[in-house]
Amino acid sequence: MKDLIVHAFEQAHDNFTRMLAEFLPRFLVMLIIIAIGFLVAYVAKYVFRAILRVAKVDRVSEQAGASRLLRRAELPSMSELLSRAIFWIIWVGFIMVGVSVLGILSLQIMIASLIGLLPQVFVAFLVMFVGLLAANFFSRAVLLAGVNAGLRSARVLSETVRVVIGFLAFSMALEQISLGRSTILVAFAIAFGALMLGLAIAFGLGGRHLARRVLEKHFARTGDREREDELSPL
Amino acid sequence: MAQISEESFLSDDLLRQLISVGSVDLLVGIPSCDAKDNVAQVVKAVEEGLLRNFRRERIALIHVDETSRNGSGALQPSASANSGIESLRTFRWITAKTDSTAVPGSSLRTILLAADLLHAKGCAVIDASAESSNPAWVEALLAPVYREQFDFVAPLYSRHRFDGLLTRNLLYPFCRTLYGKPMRELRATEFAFSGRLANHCLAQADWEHEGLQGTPEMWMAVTALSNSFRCCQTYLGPKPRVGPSAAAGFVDAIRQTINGLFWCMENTSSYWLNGPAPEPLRTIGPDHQLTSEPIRVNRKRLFQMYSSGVAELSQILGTILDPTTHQELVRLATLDESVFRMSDALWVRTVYEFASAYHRSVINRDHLVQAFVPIYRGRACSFLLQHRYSESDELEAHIESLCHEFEQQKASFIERWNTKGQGAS
Repeated sequence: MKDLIVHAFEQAHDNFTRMLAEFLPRFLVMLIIIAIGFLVAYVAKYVFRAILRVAKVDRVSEQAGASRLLRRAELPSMSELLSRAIFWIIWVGFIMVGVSVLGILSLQIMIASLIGLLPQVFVAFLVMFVGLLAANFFSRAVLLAGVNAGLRSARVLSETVRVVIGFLAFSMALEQISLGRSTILVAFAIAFGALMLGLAIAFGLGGRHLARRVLEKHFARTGDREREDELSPL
Repeated sequence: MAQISEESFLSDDLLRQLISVGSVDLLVGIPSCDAKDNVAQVVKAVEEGLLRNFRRERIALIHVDETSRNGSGALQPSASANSGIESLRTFRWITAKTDSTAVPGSSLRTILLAADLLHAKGCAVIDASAESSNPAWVEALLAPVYREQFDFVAPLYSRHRFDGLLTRNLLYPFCRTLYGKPMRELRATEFAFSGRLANHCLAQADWEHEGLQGTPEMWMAVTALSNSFRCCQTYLGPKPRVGPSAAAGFVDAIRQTINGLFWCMENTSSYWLNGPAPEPLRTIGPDHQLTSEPIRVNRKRLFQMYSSGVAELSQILGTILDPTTHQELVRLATLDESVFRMSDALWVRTVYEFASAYHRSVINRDHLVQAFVPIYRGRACSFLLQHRYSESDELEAHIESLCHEFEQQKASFIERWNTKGQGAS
C-alpha cells in the first residue's frame, strides 16, 4: 500500500517535471518573442512617426478637421495616434505568435478567431473615422453656406448634417463587424425615416410661410434681394 | 511664342481664324457672358475708338463668348454696319467660344493666346457688360501700351463713394503694402497689356489652378506688379453700378476675390517678403473720382449678418484668429448698430491673420475664405456708418490712413507668415 502511494507520487512528480521541462522552454521562447516584438514595435513606431511628420500628416489632419475631433476627445495628434496604432498592431502580432508557441489548443483557437476579426475591426474603425471627418467637413460647409445666406437655422441644419452622417458612419462600422446587424439597420431606417418625415411635416405645415419665402427667394426676384444687394463690393 | 501645348487649348476653328489673320499691331478682346444686349454697344464704341486713334495700325478684334444659358452668340461686324470700320488699314474679326465654368480663366487665356499668336504689340480687354463703354476707352487703354511701352494698364473710374468697398478696404491697401505700387483697381474688367506680358503670363503654370477661377484679371495684374513690368493707371470715366442680377452672387464674388487674392499673395511671396520699395504708379488722365448720388443701403441687415455670422462661426473663427482678435470681434457683435465701429487696426489685423491662416491651411481654404464674409459685412457696415455724412476727401483720407495701418502691421504679418508650422495661438 505504502509502495503504491510512493509510486503514485513519484509518477506525478515525474509527470510534473516532464511537463515543466516541456513548458518552460516554450514559455521562455514566448517571452523572448514578446520582448523582441516590443523592441521591433518600438523602433517601428519611431520610424513611422518620423515618416508621418515628414509627410505632414498633422497638417492634412488639421485641414480636414480631424485634429479638432481628436483634441475634443483628448487624444494625441494624428501622427502620434497612427504611430501608436502601428506599435500596438506589431506588438499584439508578436504576442499572438508567442502565445501560439505554448501549444495550448483552446488558446490557439481563440487567437485564430481574434486574428480573423482584426481586419474587420480595423475597417470598422476606418469607416468610423472617415465618417466623422466627412460629418465634420460637410456640417462646417453647411454652417458657412447657411450663415452667409442669412439663414436663421444654419446651426440646426449643420448639426443635423453632422448627426446624420455620424450616425450613418456608426451604423456602417457596426455593420462591418456584424454587431447587431438587424437592430442597427432597423434603428437607422426608423431614425432616418422619422427625421425626414418630421422635417417634411414641420416644413410643410408648421413652416409653410417660411417655405413660401424660401421658394420665392429662389424662384422670384423679390424686392428684398435687390435692397440687400444694391451695394457692390468690387 | 506660345508652346504647341498651349495651342491645343484653342479650338481648330479659332486656330484657323488666327492663322488667316497673320500678324497685327493691336488686338481688342471682348469677353462676354450673359451680356447679349450690350455686346453690340461695346463693339460700336471700340470700332469708333479704333477709327479715331489707330487708323494706320493693323488691328484685330476678338469676341470671346463664354458658354452660358443666354449666350450672347457670335457677333459679327455687321452689328455695327456703316461704322466706317472698313477704312482701317487692316481690321479682322475673330470669334471664339469658351467654357469658363469648366476651364478657369479660359476667356482671358484665349485672348492672351490670340495676342501671342498674332504678335500683337498691345491688347485691350473690354468686358461686354461695360454699359458705360465709350470710344475714348480704346485710346486710354491702348495708347500707353502701344506708344509709351507700358506693359500693364489698369483702369481708374469715377465711382460712387460706397461702391467697391472691398476694393477700397482690402484689395487696394493690401496690394499697395505688399507690392509697393498703388494700383486702385486690382480686379478690373477693363485693362490693357503688352505682348511681352502676355507671353510671360502664358508661360506660367498657374492656369489650371483653382485659385485663378473667377479672378484671372487680378492674377495678371499681380503678375505684372510682382515681376517688374511697367504698369500705369488710366482714367476711363464713370463705372456703372452693378444691377441686381450681377450682385446676386455677393458671397461668390467675395469668395472668389479673397481666394484669388490670398492665392496670388502666396504665389508671389518670394517677391513681397523681400520688401519691395514703394514707388508711385503713373496715372494718365484725371485721378479716380468719387460721386455721392443717393443710394439705398441696408446697413441694419449688414450689421445683423455680421453679428449672427460672428456668433455662429465662433468655433471656426477661433481656429483662424488669435484669441484677442476673435474676442474683440465677438465683443463688437454684441454692440448696438448705432455705436458699432470696426477700427482700422482691428480690420487690418483680422485680414492679416486670415491671410496667414490661409497660408498655413489651418482649415479647408474654401471654408476659411467663406468665414471671411461676415467679417467683411461688419467692416462694410462700420465704414458706411462712419462715412454716412463724409465728403469725398474725408473718405480718401481714411483710405490713406488705412494704407498706413496695413504698412505698420506688415512686419508682424511677415513674422506670422514665416512661423509656418504654428496654428492660431
